[in-house]
Amino acid sequence: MSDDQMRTLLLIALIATPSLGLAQPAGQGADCSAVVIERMAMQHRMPNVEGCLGREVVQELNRTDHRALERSVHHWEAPDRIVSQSPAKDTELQHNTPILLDVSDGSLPPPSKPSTADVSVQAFIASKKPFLAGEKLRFAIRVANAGPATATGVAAYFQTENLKIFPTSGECSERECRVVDLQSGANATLDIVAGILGPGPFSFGVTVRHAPTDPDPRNDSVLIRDLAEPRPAAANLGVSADLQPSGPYHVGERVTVGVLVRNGGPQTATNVTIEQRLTNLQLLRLAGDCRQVACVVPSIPSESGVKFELQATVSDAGEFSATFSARGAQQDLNSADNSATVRGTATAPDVVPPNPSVHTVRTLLEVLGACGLAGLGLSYPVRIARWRSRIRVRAALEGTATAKPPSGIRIAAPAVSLRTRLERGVAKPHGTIPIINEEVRHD
Amino acid sequence: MTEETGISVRELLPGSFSRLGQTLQEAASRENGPGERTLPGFAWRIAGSEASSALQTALDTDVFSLLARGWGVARELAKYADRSKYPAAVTTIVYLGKHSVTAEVHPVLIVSIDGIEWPPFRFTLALSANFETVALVIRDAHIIGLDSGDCSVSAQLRYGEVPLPGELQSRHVALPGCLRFKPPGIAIGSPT
Repeated sequence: MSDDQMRTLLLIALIATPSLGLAQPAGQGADCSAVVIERMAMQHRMPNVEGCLGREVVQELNRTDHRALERSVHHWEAPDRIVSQSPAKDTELQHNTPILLDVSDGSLPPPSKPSTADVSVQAFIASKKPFLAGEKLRFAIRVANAGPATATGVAAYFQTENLKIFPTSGECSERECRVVDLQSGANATLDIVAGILGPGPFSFGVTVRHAPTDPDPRNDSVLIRDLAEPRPAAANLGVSADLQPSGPYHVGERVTVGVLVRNGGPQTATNVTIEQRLTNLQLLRLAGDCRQVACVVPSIPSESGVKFELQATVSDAGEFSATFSARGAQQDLNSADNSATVRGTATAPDVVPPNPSVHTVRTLLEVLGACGLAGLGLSYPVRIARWRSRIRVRAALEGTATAKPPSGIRIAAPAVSLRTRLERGVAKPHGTIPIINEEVRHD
Repeated sequence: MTEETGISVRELLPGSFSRLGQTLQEAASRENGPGERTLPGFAWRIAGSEASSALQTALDTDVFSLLARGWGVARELAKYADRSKYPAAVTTIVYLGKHSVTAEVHPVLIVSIDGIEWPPFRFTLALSANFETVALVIRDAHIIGLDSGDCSVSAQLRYGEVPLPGELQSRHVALPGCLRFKPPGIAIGSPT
């Protein structure tokens, strides 16, 4: 008996009649009109076949010409159970439907599986050029098993030059990734991230190892070589802003915004232009490293920054905002954080009527008389409305001043206009208020 | 706000604020930074002179109508906002014992000198009243007036955290009764 003949699994082909019970668990009430057994050796005259095919089938088989059967049979090993059948169980059978049964008696080892697995690996760089030193690259790796056997213990091993691999999953380390098993015809993909250590050539090699034997080891490894360029001059400016107080806000309130413009490097940022855009805010002052609405900072070294503070008053009720942006002469590695905006909403003040009161005063300086020379100008005692003081009158009077200027000269002083309003603040009791009595009056 | 209560805020303050001009100038200098727009000192003294009377005018408002908002948030008086117990048509006189109430108001001064308008100067006036007794007139969940009372009241004006020196006065006030606030009065239970 050859190895093939020793295989446990046998192929039985039956020609079924309609409603043949063989579509059910084989041999249960089967009514076979004809049976053909292929590759069946009849050395054992089908022992235990009842348990496999059922009594009726066996009876039917026994009515056939065993000698004729023997001529078409190559192997028979006492089948005592059906491993599988086709068509499937409970399928309604048509006349002359071939029925395939895999029958096993369990007495022999299972058929030997294919002993080789042709595993191959492909890899390419998933990042776009140019490849810059210090940047990260993505490598896409595809491991495929062309069979015939399942590849077990599959692992991809990396060899790198001028690269550092960043493990992205628990199955991967800097040196390898484990795929475990790969069935015939299946494939697996790996996504590897690696940083380019410096400018110049770099390489990324992948080798897969597995069991069982690979019939074609030539496609088990792949090597990628490329060139990394030095990084261009680049900085990474970032702007953050903090609004104080935190609110609520009312019209006329002073707000302060602390602004930090930071350079994350790697290069020094030069000619950094910082711009501010205010909405519904009236600028009061700028203090710190930027004192104009649009200022230029000559340089901000890597990993350092400049700070400034803006004070403004809220002009009207509603939303107000302040936006700060920065840009330098260098390429910015992340321009998304180059601006920052703070916002608030102001309410109209709770004003105590009458509102507003307006006082406009045009005060006259009344020159009362010369008081002598002082420096280059003449000094005169003057009276400004209800206020008396000495001021120095220079150019305005020098042309007309005499040694003894006439008294009573009137000079227009700055026009002062005042408006006021009275806003309500917090009112509250302190401690417990004792209620002594209450009295109800019905109107 | 009031019909007549007999005492306004300005009565608690002096006739003028001698250092107001200097305060304004310092504040303008501080808040506008060096090198920014400036005016000669005498211009600020002129402004200060006028600002003093402008503030007095702005503060010509009744003290108790401002303080009464403190009673409006007192939890002891919250029950008078319950219209099922105190119907709208019923007036209740509530007699209170010794307690104190404070209130803040903010006179805002907007100065324009030679057409240049400066950022508003926001002052704070802190009012404090210590009541020996007071009778509140409550109707329809509102304090509509005061009937009588006895208290001392003080006021302090400051700019930022800096009080204007010498501006603190305390005064004893005997409420004559029948003081009425402007309708609908001070709501009980409303935030200040």
